[in-house]
Amino acid sequence: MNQNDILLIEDNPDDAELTRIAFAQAGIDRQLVVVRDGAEALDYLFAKGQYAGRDVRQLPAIVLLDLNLPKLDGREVLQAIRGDARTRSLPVVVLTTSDEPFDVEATYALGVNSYIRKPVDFERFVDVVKQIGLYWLVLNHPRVAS
Amino acid sequence: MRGVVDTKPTSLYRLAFESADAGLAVLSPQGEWLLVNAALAALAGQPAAALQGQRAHRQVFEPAVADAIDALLAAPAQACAPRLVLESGADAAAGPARRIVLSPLPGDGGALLLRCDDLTAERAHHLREQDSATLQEYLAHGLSHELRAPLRSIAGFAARLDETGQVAADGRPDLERIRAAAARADQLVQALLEFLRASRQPMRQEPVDVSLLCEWVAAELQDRDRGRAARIEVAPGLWARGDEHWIKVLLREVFDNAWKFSADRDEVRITVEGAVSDGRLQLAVTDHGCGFDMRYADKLFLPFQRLHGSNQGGGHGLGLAIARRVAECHGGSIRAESRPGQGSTFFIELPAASPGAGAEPGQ
Repeated sequence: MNQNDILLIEDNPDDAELTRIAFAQAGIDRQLVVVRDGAEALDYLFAKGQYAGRDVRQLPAIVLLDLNLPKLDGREVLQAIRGDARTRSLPVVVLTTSDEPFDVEATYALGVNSYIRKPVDFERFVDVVKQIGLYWLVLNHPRVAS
Repeated sequence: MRGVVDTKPTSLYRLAFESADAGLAVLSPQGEWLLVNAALAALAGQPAAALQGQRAHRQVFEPAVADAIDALLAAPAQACAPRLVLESGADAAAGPARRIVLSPLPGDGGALLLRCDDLTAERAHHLREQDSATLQEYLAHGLSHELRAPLRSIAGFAARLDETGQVAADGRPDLERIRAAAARADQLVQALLEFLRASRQPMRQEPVDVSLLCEWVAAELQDRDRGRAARIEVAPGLWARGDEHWIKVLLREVFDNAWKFSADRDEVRITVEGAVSDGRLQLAVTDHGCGFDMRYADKLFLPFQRLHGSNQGGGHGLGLAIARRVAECHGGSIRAESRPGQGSTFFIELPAASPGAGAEPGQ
């Protein structure tokens, strides 16, 4: 089982807090690293800027990505992740409020692993988070770090 | 007594030329405007007399258009000279939007007919259509991203307050109201997005097993409302041609409507019958619910025109509007008949398809 952190890329502090609560309620005992925008997410992943001291080989177990982000939006972050050898196979789950067909298709075309719409109902959201955790942190066999 | 018509052909030709809606001029081989009708004078903003005898295209049209006309005039005469079609004012700043067609007149004289149409209204219409598509995109984005985010906060933190017991017992019903309102608003957002999508997305054209979709939709409703007695009878072998996803949405809305307005019955009874005539599938979905007053039948399929209050099962007010959108986008229709207290029948017409016809006809 992969014991690494979960990286949440989410600009809305309410949503970040609700996701944190949902992970706690779902019993997922991982550190949730929250970054506020796309540029900060890439700094974190590639150990640049304020994350310059971070070990770049220490990748998160999964990345939870919101699509609507200030500066670099979710699609651009996804492109950058898929465009770099170090993060090309990192599991990225889009966790967003939209299920517009355009958003879904464009995001799959960029190589996302999974696309999940955050339900408005909180109990259902906790349920969704539980299933994400079960699938990506327990069932899914992670790529062996090189 | 009506006026006496001069029936000499030359007078009639002149009259027809003069009063045509299109702007017309006859040009000499050298490019002089020999005849100009009233419509063209109006488009040029000058009296016909000021244009006749001149190479008036140089003063009426923008330079690029006038140059193209002169180039055609300068070309050696051919037995079958090409027609020239030009559009001006593609850039609004360059001049008014016009379509100009120059074609040789029959005969040896070498005269040409110039036709000029005003494209201003056409262009404006096209722009408005583009604007409308852009507006719909903004609206869909605003609904699916921007409006849902605060709804999630309201629902989420109200649930949190409820769970942590921070609200005293007498405040909990209010908390429940907040959560229920957020859930309703979310359903409304969902329905509005579906309504927009039904108008924007192209419909696929494939054989669709309508009988199967009816059973499927009924099973989903029974699953959602367990413990509710239901008797659903669907005639087998009903096939339509269209988009399976959207036809299912249509049937779901009609079934959902029947289901909701059967709330005060011991059991929900829905019957689906159908027949094909002239290549059209005529479906009849009958329920035995509370029905509606036929005086309001025309309001039934309009958005947000509820005939029942929320205590009678009224929903977000878009269900049947979505159903009608889908039917119409398939070139079909939907209407309803009802007798209050006895139930309603929804008549849906869609293009028919033969059972299991996987391939297009002729393949």
